[in-house]
Amino acid sequence: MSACQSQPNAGSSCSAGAPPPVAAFTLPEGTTPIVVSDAVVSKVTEMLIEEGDPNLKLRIFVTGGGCSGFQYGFAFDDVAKDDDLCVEVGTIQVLVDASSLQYVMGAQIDYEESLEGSRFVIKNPNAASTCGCGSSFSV
Amino acid sequence: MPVSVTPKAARQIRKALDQRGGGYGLRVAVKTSGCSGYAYALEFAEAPAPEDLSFESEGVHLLVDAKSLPLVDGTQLDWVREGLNEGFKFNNPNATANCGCGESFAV
Repeated sequence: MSACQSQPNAGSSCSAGAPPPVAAFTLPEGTTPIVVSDAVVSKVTEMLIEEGDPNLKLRIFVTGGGCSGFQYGFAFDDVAKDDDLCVEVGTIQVLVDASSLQYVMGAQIDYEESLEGSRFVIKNPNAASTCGCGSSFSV
Repeated sequence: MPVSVTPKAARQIRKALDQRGGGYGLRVAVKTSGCSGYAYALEFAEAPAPEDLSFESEGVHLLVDAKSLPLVDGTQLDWVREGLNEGFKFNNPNATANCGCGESFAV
């Protein structure tokens, strides 16, 4: 398993023009591949207690699909792969695989609760347009 | 029934009403937006409005305004967990296309 720390930029060609968002935490190289909100940290912490496995990591990925061409996925994973970006925020670890990272470089990960439901959301500077609910996007 | 809810959705609606300190029920409306033409809108209701039709399903009150009703007639509202997210899902027999997340639809 790869150590959970910031890695050299895996999607350099995609991030060159992306302005760094307001940093919720600081990475050693001054890069901010993704920003994870406090709401995500507290919700994931709560979910890991429910799951009874404190070693699970939040995996964020991008797949083809949705009305805008790409869509975000969120899952728990107990293993970090070699090509994963692994970001540690508070007590949680967030993984993004290298091919997904090029689409979410510089994005902010948040957790929203409303009457309609509760969901993880991504505010993505790379997205040219997003679907109504934000689960799908185009680049 | 024109609009109904599953037991899971009813439980969630009751929970949401409790958390906000009560209320008459849930209003289900349709607005024109979203990538498929229409989008659902949910809100708490204190009382039925004059243009509302009121339904009771699984012990909860549902309100639909007369203009939205043809677009949601026969809809069953469910509460589902998809991956790590959870939310209301609209099983709408009138919808011919849905947006990825189900928030938007076409008829």
